[in-house]
Amino acid sequence: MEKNKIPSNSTLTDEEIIDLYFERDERAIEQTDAKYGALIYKIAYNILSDNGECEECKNDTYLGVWNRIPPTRPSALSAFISRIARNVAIDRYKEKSAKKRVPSEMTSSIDELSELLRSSESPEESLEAKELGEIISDYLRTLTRQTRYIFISRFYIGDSIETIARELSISTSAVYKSLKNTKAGLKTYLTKRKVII
Amino acid sequence: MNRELIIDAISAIDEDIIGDCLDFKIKNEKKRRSKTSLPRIASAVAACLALAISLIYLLAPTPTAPPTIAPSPETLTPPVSESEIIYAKEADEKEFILKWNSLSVTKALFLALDGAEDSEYLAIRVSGISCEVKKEDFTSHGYIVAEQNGEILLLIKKEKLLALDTPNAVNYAFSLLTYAEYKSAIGN
Repeated sequence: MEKNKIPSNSTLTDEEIIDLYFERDERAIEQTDAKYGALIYKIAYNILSDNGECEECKNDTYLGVWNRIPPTRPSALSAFISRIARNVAIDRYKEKSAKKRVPSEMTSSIDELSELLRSSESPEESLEAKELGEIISDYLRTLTRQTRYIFISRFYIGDSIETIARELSISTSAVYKSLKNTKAGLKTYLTKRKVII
Repeated sequence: MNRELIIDAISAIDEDIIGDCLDFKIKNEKKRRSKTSLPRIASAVAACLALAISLIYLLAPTPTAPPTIAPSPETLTPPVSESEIIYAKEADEKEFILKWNSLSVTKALFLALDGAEDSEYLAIRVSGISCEVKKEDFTSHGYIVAEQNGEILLLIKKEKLLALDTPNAVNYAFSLLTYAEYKSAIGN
């Protein structure tokens, strides 16, 4: 029982999991599932609201991670995996919503942001998502950790207000207030950076 | 600014920010689960105990046997030496359920099968999930060394376990035994 054994009750560090990917050891998937399976599922569910599709998203995510590591050695495995999961789920969401608008927690969270920025004109039509992502990142770095956490939970992971409040043991109104301030701050920041007028 | 751009821009937020939040979320989730699961487990155990005790008083006028598998006169004495048997360690996750109709194999089985040689025997307790254990599902695959209360204690080679394709197997729960559990189960 000792040969090449990973103790079943221990969780490997991200570095050790990445090493397993580099060794092309299939236990990398098992360990990823043990550590991040619930998170991937949550991200997928918040976007798709469909249990069956979430399972497929998980499998597609593992395949995506397997195909990217190596050569990539991510500095933050959780972020790397969650990005793949999010992209996989969004692709599926786009496919579905091309036929019909699909309501989900992610839809409403993105609608919140769209609502805020819709009236604003973008001076640079060709503004790339990556560039905008970097500007939003710069803005997020100016916030406290908790405020940043609330923003990422709502807009990146697609968590409901109630879930975020429960996770942080604060009231839902405190979450609403934080999001309202952050969105207003973001709008000001984007205006200052001339992303919107 | 259109929705697509916003969705993609949110996806492009720097990994260090996302990673920091996700790590916090995962730690937080674990903490929350450990806090909430203990009382739930305790109340579930208490409920089961209460039920079991009431059933014992109701159904058994004489002291009942402990709920372990005891040797049965009909069971075989297998020609298997101690050194050929693989036991689980206390720390191992020992419970697993075979799911023949899906590709998913639980971690415990994966580890047990990964560590064992093809010719080594695994000591396994088999119990029914939604049906009784049918001994004939196992007699041609391994040795049934004890049985009681609808459960059997099975010594089965890794290669045989992998080849176990009986349609009933999906209804059974399998549990790897530690050395102490095995000895206790066979009455030594």
